[in-house]
Amino acid sequence: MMIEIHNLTYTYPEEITPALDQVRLEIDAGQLVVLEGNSGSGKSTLLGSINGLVPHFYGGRFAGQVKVEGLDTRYAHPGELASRVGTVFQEPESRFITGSVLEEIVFGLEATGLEAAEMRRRVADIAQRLNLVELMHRPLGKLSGGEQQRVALAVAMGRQPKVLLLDEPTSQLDQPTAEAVLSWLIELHDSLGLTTLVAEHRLEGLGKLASRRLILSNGRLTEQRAAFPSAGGEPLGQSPGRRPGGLLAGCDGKGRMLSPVPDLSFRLNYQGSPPRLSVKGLAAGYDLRPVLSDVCLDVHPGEIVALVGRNGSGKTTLLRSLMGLLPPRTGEVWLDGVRIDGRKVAEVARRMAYVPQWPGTLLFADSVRDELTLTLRHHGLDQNPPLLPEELLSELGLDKVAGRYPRDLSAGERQRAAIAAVIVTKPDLLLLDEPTLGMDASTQESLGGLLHRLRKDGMSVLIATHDQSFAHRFSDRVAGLEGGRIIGEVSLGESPAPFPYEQAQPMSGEALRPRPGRGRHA
Amino acid sequence: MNVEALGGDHTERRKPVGRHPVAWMIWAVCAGGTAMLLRNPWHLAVVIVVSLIVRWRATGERPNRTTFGLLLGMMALPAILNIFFSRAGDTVLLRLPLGWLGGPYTLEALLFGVTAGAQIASLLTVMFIFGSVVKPVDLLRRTPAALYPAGVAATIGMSFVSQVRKSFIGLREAQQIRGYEPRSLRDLPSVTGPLLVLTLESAYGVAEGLAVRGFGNAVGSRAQGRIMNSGLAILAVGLSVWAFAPAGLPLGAIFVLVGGVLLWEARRRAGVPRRYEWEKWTRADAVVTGLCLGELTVHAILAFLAPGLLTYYPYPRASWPQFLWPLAMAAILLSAPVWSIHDD
Repeated sequence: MMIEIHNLTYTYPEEITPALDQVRLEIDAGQLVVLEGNSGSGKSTLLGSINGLVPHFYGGRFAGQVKVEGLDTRYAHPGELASRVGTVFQEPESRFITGSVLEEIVFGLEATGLEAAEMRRRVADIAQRLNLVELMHRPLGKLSGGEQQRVALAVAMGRQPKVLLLDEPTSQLDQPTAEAVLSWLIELHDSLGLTTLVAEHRLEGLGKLASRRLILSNGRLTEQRAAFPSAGGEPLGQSPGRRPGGLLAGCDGKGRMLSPVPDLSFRLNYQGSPPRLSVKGLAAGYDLRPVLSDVCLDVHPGEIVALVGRNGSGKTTLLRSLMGLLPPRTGEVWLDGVRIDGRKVAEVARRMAYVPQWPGTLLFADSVRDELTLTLRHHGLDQNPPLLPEELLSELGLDKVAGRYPRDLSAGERQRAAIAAVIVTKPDLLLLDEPTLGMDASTQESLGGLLHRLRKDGMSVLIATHDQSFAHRFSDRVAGLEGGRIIGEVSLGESPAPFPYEQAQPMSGEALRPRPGRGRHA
Repeated sequence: MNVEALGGDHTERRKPVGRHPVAWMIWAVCAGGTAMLLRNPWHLAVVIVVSLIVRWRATGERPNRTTFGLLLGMMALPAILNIFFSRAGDTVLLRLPLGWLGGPYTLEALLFGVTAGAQIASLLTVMFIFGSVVKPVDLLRRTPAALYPAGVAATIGMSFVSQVRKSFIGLREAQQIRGYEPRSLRDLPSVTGPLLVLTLESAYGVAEGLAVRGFGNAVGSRAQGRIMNSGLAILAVGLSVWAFAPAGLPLGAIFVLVGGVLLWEARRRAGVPRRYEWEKWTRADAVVTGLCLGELTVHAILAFLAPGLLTYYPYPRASWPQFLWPLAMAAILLSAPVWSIHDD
């Protein structure tokens, strides 16, 4: 037996409710086990109990026993377990130690005492498999979220551990990279007999790989089924179902059909109507590195546009440029006929809200409820809030944690808290960077429903995402970004399949050039 | 296949090319050691200026107004504190009838505070430059497994300034996104509290990352680990005897010697550590190391034989601190890295 967990009950310091409650689990060597559960159900904690961070690093009350290849984690520290267990965290950037990609991968390998030649062979292999060759000397801080996650995977897999723990490993990866990662998992699984435990919301690609499927709910391992309902599984990223009329329906991780996709039949006829957001010939970049060039894009009132593209294609840079956090080098950004590029971010923020990819820094109040109040106060709306905070929290499933310290929440809950904190002012345009990161299927459904309710009130939404399933289910239009350029657009219903990057031709800037109609800096 | 052979984006690599990490470590020990032995403000100023030039050459970042502002602040704070709380000295600048805070404010107290501030500033400058030119990972790689907590603390310490800066940028952006822009000092708490939380969280994340990577659990037998720990403990006892019981110099030397032998043996048993790629130790590294060690030796000998040459004591009546050209020239040897760094 590779992993044995006997009656594990664990409570974090200063908490009353256990994060894991009487968990019993046995995993044979070579099994690939998928761990499901809603945000905050205890998935990351269970992984932490296997790599020894629970309880050695976090403290808290620990009862029961966890053994990894016979090694009792109560007595073996994470450092000792590291030779057996590799871990990929949900937010990899905060765990990086060195300065560059190569150093980061090499650092873990050097501790193993491998020969230099073997280290070089492994590094080259990893770099090629995870498409990291061009990034090897790049500073870690200048990588996109997806690139950082690939590096974290490379670090964990470099040591070729017997057990691999992955906390949402493909949540930030685009479809081709996610498929490459999963195919490598199969290869490692087959060739090395690797035991793998994956906490993942994105289950489509794992169906055919997983030996077992575990479900965690409120810290209890409530269900344990032999296999996925559909052993074949859908190709990763492909939409799981399609409703008549070209609309797509999803299924949650348990194979149940989700609630019907919100009615999109009222989709507006945008032809001829002035755009809410109009981007003209935008170019932006970091230091000497250009990222975006000649980006042209319109978003109309009440429209939900998904911006899809591979990791590093410039999605985040575009949203940051629109918000003013990264001043454009050239080009113009118009919001309802008012030119906004060059204006102060705090000024723009009243009408255009932005939720970054990792919203950790966005949350700094004492409670989730206070986060919403804080935003309202900054905009002078606390006496007359456009959206009622309690209702919004309830809609996003945060009512039960409204009084909790936001930074103690799970990744999915933090994401929702950040969204609530910026949309409570009911902005005209909402920019979301990878909003489904760390969200389970039901929460994604709630978010999609909320976006559609908001758009009925006229709010426009621009979503940067590589989750094509979410993009196709909840957006009116999908725009593809590749190499810093918009390479094409498809409307919902016309093409429910993943965005055809290969076939898309770069779009002419002139063809998309908007006509704002009103003056500069009005 | 080597990754170098695979190509890749080299545009982000640091230029110009610096010295071997061990040479930098020796430079930092020598510059820091000199700063600790000195109390003469002129010679401390030489150490600070030399250090700033070294950083400029090594990183390409020239000292700016903020750098000098921080240095002045570090010198001013002890001066202000000392003039308020020390009543010694003959040269009274001001006499205030203010109860416990009142009394004579003396020039000597001011000068003593300034020299203490100059010493603190020079030490922090050296540490700051060390953090700029040596990557935390270079230090971690050379940290014995037995010193795991020290390695983690050093890594976090060395990346503290850059982490605070990163957290501050993230926080400022987040506040702007939420429609908030701090305008005056009264808004400072809204920045400092979250900044502290973010920075501590980041340090926590680094420690977590180190733990799961097996840092502190390097390859080696348990016996080797025990020898290493014993060596470190005995060495610490020897150094403590030297520091706190000067009469026990021979006894301390025995402890230091035994500790050193045990550490050597532990190192021998551990074998040659594995590296992906060894940094090249060049003749220039040897020259830098030799010059810096020579400089520290001169100051250490003077500290035993003629300590008056290194210190400045303004009490009871202030006198002008003397500037000794030979000592200043010795301190200038610390600029050796400047002349040996070459452009890529």
